[in-house]
Amino acid sequence: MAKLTDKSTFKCGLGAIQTVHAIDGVLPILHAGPGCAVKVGGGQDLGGSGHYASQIFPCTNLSEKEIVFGGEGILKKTIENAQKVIDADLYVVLTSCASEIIGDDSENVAGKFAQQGDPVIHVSTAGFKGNNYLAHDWVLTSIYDQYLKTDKPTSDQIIKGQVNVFASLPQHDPFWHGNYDVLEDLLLDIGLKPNIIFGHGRGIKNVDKIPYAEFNLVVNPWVGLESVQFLEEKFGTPFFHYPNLPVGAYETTKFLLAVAEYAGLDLEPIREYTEKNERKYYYFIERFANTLLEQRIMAKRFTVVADAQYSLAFTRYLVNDFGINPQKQYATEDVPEKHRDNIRELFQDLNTDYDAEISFETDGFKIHEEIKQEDYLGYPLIIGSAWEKPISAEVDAYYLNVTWPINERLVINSSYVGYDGGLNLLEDIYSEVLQRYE
Amino acid sequence: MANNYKLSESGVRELRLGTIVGYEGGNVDELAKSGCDGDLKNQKHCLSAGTSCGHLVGVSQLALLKNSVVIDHGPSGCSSCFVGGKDDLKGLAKAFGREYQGPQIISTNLDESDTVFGAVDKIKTAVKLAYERHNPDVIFITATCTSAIIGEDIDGIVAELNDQYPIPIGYCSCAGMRSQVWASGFDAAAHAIAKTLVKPPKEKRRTVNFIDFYCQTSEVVTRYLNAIDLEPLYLNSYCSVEDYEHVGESIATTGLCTVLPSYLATYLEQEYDVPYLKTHFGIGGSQEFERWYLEIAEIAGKVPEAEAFLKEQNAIFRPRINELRARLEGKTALVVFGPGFTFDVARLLDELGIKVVHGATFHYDPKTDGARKESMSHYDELDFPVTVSEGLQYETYKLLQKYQPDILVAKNHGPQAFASSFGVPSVCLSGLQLFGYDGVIHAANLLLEKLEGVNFVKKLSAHMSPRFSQEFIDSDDYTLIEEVKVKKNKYKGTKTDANEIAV
Repeated sequence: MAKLTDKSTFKCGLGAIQTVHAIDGVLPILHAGPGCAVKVGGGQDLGGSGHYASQIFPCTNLSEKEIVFGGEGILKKTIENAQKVIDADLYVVLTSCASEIIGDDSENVAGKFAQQGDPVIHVSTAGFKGNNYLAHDWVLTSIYDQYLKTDKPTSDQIIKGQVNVFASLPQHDPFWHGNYDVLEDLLLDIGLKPNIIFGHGRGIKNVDKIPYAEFNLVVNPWVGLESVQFLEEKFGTPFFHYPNLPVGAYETTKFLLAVAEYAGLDLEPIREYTEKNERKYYYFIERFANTLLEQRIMAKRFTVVADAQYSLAFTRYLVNDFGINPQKQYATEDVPEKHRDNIRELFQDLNTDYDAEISFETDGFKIHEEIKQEDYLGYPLIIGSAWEKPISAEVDAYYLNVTWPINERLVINSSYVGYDGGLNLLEDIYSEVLQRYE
Repeated sequence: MANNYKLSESGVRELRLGTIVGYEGGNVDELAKSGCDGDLKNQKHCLSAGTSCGHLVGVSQLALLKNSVVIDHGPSGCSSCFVGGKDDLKGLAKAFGREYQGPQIISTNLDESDTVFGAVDKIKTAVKLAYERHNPDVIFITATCTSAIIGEDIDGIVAELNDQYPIPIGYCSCAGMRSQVWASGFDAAAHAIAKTLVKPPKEKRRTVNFIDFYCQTSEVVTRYLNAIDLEPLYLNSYCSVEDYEHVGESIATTGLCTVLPSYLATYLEQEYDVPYLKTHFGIGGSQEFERWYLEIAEIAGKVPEAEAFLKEQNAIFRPRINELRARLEGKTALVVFGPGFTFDVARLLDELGIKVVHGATFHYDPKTDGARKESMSHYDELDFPVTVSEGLQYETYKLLQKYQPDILVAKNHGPQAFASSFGVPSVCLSGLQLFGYDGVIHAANLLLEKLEGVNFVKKLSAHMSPRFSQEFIDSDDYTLIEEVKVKKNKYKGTKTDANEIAV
């Protein structure tokens, strides 16, 4: 775990509240101090207002009294009254640093509700145990473990073509909803039945379908793996790990063919589909080629300072499709040691002679010091979080804010994933670049 | 009782001021009266929600100081809502002619072993890092629930560190679980500022300390103070360490409401005889503004000049205020704010002919620091039902349902989305924009814009369905105050809690 954080791009374990929040109709109940929900709940700028929002997430609002005498009583009261006031399909009790240090047995309190048939589960999400990237898997595993009561499905219960899809970290990734929507459409188009639990109109009914999938698909360098491994143990569902979030024509085609091959689909119609989409993609590229080939003001080299998901996805796209060369890249979410070698290798798998060095530095200050020393052979392109805005100005870079913290953009449901996603990314990059003419 | 500023920690509002976060049952005058009589008890809510905490507001105050670094001694989540450079704050400061670098916060990112073995060494490392990297003018170390529960002696470390570094290093006791009133965090920050930065006065200056949340400068405040030969000294946001060396030299301290300024202002009054204007505020409509202005003028020895200036300004603004009042008269409003804004904005609305059907305040302080009983007594001029909500939006929903007002007037903590679900427009009335005669006109224009432009909320309401239980939606109750509801056997109370019995 990172020792100190300066310019951090992650939250604590209780940030799992965002994963719960993203499953429509599932309500987090916090056994925590009064400020935790608002601090890690994503905030209004990330779609956190309305009827299901931090401000109404039930919370035990721990005070000194509970710290001394214990807070199991107030947790019991909160779970009971939450069910009376708020209509939810599932209530997920999340613990905090405070409730865990004082030794409250939240699992037992929640477990008693579950025993009497109430839809209540429990997840240990104390902030000091790890960050919100890890806690995403903790929440999913707990839901599968405690809520999904079905036995291992028999082979005739498996729904042919159903694939459960896990990719971006809900809410913490500002583009999460758009990303899931695009992945859903792509997989539907090649004849699969994607089942996604996060976002509009999905919710608990899709959680209920999880055991019957033919396979689970993780589209992320490492987030989501732990929980699908659990599903493999519990329901015998195999999983396909495709580490790269596909952006643009080349990577999207590669992704679809890989998934199709894994699923045992007939590749011929899928090749037709990908070719049709590539033709459309290059139709646009060709029409704007004069602008895109402009060499006086466009960046020659780029750096992505983001989580491994976007560092890899944008590096792959910008190198493999767009043909510019990488400078040093950063994955800032404190990637667990066991995944690092694999991610390093993924950064070598590029269609270029250049190596894209990937650093797992979590210290924003050090990253910025390194950026200052790099030679970008011209104006740099820096894709990152709001932290990178001042350093981008300092090194006269083109700057695009895509990861949390995100201050200057409102992202509702757009995405950089897929064929159109690549074009969206070019639009956004060039909208910065062309300002040089102003 | 006077506040003890020599201690390392500030007292919480519950104990210092008798602050409550739950109340149902009367109008403003009854609340004010039982507060003054000292028999106001907190009525517990039987269900709470994530609201805010003292740590959140305490850190925000300190991180907004110019060239400060906050070392947050806790897990990474505690300070995560401040990260991101918050360029909006930087931009806001710039727009008002202030310089601000954006929050500089280093978290000690406490992990599981730190909670067992302690992690004061991390504080030392963080301070070294902060000093070398950011070259700050001041460093504050803030406590969190986690560091407070495991008993980290931050105050002890601070004494040691102050000997090692040439800049002031302060400790802020803002752990969230210390108080159910998030405003206690303002006091913790003010306590840290008072102990760390405020210097004894050398000479009297013709300045007035003006304490506000995101202290923009205000042309309006400056105009009125200049007219009686005074200059504002805006605190706390974006101010420098040097500004605090002079706060004791001002002729008075004031602010926008009773909540934020109270603790630091009382310190200056207690220690350096700087009078604290704790009764009238310039955002409460013309009359309150005039009272506020004349109170300062009296201290400055400029009452005739102030009266003349008010007369002149009133002549300019009054016709427009009357015109706007004619268009707003008879409208109804639900008001949801902290206590200062709830009651002062209610006065402003009253001046515009808008009837306040109900006020829901996040907390209520029966007295201000400095403990003069009469400071709250002028609230009995107001007459509308009031509840103290702890910031619970369940209650906003029920109040909207009960009253169906023409508009919801609020500022923060998320009530506006709930008004939209009823097709009720809402307006954000905030801070210095409400100040003086100008502020009355500004508020009236905003209210009219929202009252006349309801397409967004009407369309949205047609597509929103409440996520509350049918039982709650159908219920006549508009609060979740426990003693009322539990008696009716509707909700579970703490009376039967296992731990309560054990106690």
